[in-house]
Amino acid sequence: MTSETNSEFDAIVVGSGISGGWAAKELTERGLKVLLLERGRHVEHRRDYVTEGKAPWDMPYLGQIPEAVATADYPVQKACYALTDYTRHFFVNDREHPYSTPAEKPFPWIRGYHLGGRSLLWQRQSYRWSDLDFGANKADGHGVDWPIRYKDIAPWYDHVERFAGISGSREGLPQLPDGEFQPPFPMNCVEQHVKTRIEDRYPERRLIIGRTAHITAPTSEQSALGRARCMNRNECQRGCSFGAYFSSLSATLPAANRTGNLTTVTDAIVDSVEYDDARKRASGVRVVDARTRARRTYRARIVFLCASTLGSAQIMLNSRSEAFPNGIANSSGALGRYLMDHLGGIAAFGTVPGFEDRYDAGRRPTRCYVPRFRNVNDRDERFLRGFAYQGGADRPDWKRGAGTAGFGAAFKESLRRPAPWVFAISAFGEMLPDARNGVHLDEKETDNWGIPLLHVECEHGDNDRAMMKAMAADAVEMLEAIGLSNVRSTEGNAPPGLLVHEMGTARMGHDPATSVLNGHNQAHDVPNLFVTDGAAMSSSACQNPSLTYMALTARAAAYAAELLQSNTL
Amino acid sequence: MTEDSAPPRMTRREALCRAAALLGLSLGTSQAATMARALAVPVDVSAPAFLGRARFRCLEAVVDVLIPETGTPGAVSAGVPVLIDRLLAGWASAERQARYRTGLDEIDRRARADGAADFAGATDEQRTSLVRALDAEAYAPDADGRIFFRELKKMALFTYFSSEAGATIALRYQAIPGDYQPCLSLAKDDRAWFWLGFSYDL
Repeated sequence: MTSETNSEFDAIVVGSGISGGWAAKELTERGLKVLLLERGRHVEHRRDYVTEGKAPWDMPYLGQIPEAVATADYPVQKACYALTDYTRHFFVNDREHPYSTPAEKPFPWIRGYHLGGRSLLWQRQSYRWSDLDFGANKADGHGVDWPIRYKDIAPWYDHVERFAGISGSREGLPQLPDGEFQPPFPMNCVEQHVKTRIEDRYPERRLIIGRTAHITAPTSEQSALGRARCMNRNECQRGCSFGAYFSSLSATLPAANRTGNLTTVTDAIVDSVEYDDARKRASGVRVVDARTRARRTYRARIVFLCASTLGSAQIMLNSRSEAFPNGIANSSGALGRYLMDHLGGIAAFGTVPGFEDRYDAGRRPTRCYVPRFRNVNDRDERFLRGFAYQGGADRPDWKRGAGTAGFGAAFKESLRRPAPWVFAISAFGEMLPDARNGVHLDEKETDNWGIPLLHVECEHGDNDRAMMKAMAADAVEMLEAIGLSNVRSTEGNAPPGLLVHEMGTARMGHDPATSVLNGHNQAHDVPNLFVTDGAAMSSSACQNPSLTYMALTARAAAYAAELLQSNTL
Repeated sequence: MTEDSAPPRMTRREALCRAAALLGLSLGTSQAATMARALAVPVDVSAPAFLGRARFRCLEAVVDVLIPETGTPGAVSAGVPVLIDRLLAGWASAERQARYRTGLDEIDRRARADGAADFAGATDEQRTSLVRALDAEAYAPDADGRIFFRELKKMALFTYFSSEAGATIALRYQAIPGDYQPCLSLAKDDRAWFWLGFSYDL
């Protein structure tokens, strides 16, 4: 059943999401022949955005997923805010893609298996990390020291921001470095007002517009790729024919395709990486055809794993050989461990007095951001590391009616008007790396394709819980202090996984004895194997991580291409 | 009604949106108003998809009191009873279907206790008075949040404001806004924008 495919490729890239798209682009643009493997179906930019632009009355059930379908097919995915009847074709069917967790430690694993992966679904917030983040593990001793610092990645942030198109404002904050920004989205008058109040009262805090991967002033390179400026629909997860937000389908894959060096194969599930013990190199990947279950092997000189944090960990753990009985490049035993997500599910909101004769128009695809302010200059005794808030001001609509007594003509008329302004924020906190949080392969159960299921075991620790308490308390305190009325908070107790910022499991580090990858995302044990998705992260910071995956991937690709060209691999 | 009735309108709207998008324009209110003609959901009340005739009449009468015709379409002309019936037939879980059967029957029972034949057969005064009582019970400080009338009201508001008439006439709807305009002046009778947002828990 296993067929061999002769090596006609310089590189194999596994996964076509944010990281895989960047790997494909950077490697093909350096002249390498690249095979991109995607486990899911083909999605054609524009053509396959089948719900784009549809109003609720164009949908069979006004955009609601039939309840029995949600229960049967999406018991895990339905925890994600972005799952609707408009988007469900970009989420996995949980019945077809099982994994396990201990009953008392849920870990929602939110996934999209199709060309472009979760780059179609992401929330597009794009923030640089700083040396506060890259130095954090070394400073407090949790996790291994990052083998890189800001200066190593800064030029790559520049590089990926210019291509992807990140809108934002320059603020000069050391903990949130400025980037190569396109013009920012404007803040509305109430956000401006709240900004003034916050910054007057708390000198170390800022309210800035969100930095988001939306084009506001296309470059000629972006226009040439068919991308146009954002139209403020904020229905991005259905797909965007304007190509206004960054995705693999709008940006990196078209760029890779135009080199003539890219071959893309969809419905190709990577089972494992093949290891050549004599050469001490990865020789290729073993693939199961998603439709026929036929097995085949692809060979190349280098392999980039970009299958998502848990996806890459699963492939590596399943790549067992005499040299690596516990998973490829796992001489350290760190593979599969130190899994993190962001801390969240905590929000606070209050009514902003005044501005009743002001309103906005258009659906801005980003909100605002309060960059980290704890443990930046002073030491907060409650917890290590820090958190940020994302939020903004708007006027609630008719949905408030369901929670309010009333009916009839006057009630209807009141719901046709916008309610007074509400300012709301939700928190994103840094989770500490912990050896007890991680994944392993199920020894008995396999999926439809004969691949061992992943077992995920992850829970918040003491510092995480202390920070979550502080995130809620600080939010309420701040909103009350700046004069909002009726301030309330919600604590969703989001389990790890639900923030969909899973990181770790193949961490970078200086020492091959305690880490899987070196400072170039290159496996310490297997020099032609690179892992550049979230699995590589040694700590989680509190910024949304995708921009850092882009920069690390581009940097690793440049390095790998150099090694290939100098025949050092 | 079938989905076959939708495509011609969609195509026209999509064409308009696409044209506007290519020009980088946002659709203003007057264009939206033009696009919003002939929006009534085709109604075939003789054959509800899920509810029997009696429960459908009850539902129709209740949502008419909740969201009456004013200067703008009410729930009935916006097609809310048909939309709810369609959701119950194809979207709702068996548990929810059962709650609607029982819940609507209970409203009819309350109407009979008031001396009417059923809710639909009651006088305007009787209907208003019964809905007032149901609303007061449902939103009393110690009320159970899962009470059926709250669920029904939430469903009526959702289907009304998500209907074409609700979103484009009672409210304002822009398929492709174009720009984000952060600070506009709002007159007393200006309508709110329609946007569904992400997942909505009914």
